[in-house]
Amino acid sequence: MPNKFIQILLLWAIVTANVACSYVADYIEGEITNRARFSISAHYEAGTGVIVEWDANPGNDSFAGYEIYMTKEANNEFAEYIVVGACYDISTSPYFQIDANLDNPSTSRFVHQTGNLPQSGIYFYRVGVIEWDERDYNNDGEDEKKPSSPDESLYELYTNIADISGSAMVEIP
Amino acid sequence: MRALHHYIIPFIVLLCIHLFAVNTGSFAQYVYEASTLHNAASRSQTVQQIFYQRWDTIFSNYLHFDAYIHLNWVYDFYVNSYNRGTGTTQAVPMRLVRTFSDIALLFPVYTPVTETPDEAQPVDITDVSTFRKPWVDNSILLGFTACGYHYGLTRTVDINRGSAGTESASDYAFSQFFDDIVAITAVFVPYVTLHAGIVFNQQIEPNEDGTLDYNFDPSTITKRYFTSVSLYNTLTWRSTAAKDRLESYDISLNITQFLSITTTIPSYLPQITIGYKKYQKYNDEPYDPVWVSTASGKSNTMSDSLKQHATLYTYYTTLSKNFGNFFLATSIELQHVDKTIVDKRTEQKVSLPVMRLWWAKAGYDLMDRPGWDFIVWLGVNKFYDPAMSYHSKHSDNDTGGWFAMIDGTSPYITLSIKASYNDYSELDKLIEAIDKYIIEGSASFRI
Repeated sequence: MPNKFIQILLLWAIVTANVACSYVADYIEGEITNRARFSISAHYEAGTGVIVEWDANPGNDSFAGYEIYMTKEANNEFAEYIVVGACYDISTSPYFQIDANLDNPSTSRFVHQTGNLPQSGIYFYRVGVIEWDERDYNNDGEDEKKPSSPDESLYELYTNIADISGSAMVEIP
Repeated sequence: MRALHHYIIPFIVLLCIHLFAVNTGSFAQYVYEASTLHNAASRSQTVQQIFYQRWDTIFSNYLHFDAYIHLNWVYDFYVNSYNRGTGTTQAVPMRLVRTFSDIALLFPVYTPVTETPDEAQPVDITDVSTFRKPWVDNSILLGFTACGYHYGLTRTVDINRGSAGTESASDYAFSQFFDDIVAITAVFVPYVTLHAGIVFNQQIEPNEDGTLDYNFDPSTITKRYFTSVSLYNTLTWRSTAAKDRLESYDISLNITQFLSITTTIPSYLPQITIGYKKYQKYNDEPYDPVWVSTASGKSNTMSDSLKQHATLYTYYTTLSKNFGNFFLATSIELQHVDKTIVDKRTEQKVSLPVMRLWWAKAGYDLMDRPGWDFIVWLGVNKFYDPAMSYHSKHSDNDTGGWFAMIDGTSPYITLSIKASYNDYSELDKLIEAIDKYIIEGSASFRI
């Protein structure tokens, strides 16, 4: 009995000392509502464009790529975000560009090139970590974490935002 | 042509007025400031209330372990927010998120040897009566709890992923509040139950980008201390103290339980509990709707040493009774305050009505198996609080409310979904939730 008592007490102490329960519940709610979890930086560089940098460290198991988002309207922090960078051609927006490096989990930089930038104003950028849905891609009766041969149509149908960054403000002159 | 001009100009003026009215609709809505969330004393009451509810569940079901989570969303808050794009402040729709989780352990450290051990009955994991038995009299139990409540506003962000669809994300907005309890429990069955613990009140400002750097460091957090003593599960004392003063205490007596100690209680008698609570509710804080004693010379920026305090005394009676699968309960709560309180807006004396609250609820269990419940609950209430019209566009200080809940229980897992509108238990936690729909889900795992 004393050993069991000590084990339980230690377990309880470890749990409560490291993470308070208020944060555990909030973390779960944040997972449900896709809470912004990490910070990014973004700045404008004349002749280059907007440089977005991040450090997300996604897992490899179901990683599908990064997506870069920008506010749709100038000078409005609360506007809808549109995708401006992805590893597949998923948008017809004039600001969108394909970047094959975005399918690599170790990528940590994206340049929104000058030719794809909107009119001058203040814009906000975010980075999304995209993951594959777990489903039966091979039609073998068992679910896989990602397709063995990913392509654009599968990407459009079976991916979702697993993690998203906070916003970074950039003034485009 | 001149006649046309005659009509066109008034038409354009009317059209402009109409368009202005339509397009400024969101700005015309009432703008909420989450001010009462800053009331750490009130938040401490809330987290303790749920702590005690969990322990009632643990004791009444003879549990050794309880892990519980509860998520609550309040919609349609409009909050004045600074837009870094426009450089102006505007009313922005937000959602108030309130989450609670709890982990509790209870185990015997001493159990007297019984003369007639009941080991003949085989264990059936679907029938709790075969594996959860009442604690043996004179045994000593020890329990530990860690639980916490988070409150905060979040803003939804719409993300258009082109042909990959649309999704949403959420940002933290404004101060986030994290209240945690660490507590120890000791029980000498059935004579005494003791709880003692610390409430940690923490406020964290999110980053400008909508993320939050969380850090739980007890040495830097405001603390409160609480204790509870219950004799024979009949007479219960609960108190909360801040660093320098006793903030509240609550004494209650379960009359039915008390009578059952000495005599046999007729089966038709309901459970009757009476209680008295003292709570230092009004403290000249910026979020309080009233000034204490006088409005003269007071302001929301005055120093703590000048603040006066008024205590609210409440007296309550609760009746509950089961009729087979049918449950009924009702309660009334009366009030008075020990000092004059003055409305901050009108500077007129506020006369509190004698009745602060009444509520009634009914439930029906659609299952009839030990340890398995599927209860549908409906409840109504009437609630008064002078902060109601101060912190919302509600025209007066009382309101009627309701809730509907489905509560499912199995031997190891419970699930519950609740919808409410102006339910007193929600308004008591946060008065700004008035005139808003609230959705809540909870789940627990227990052994």
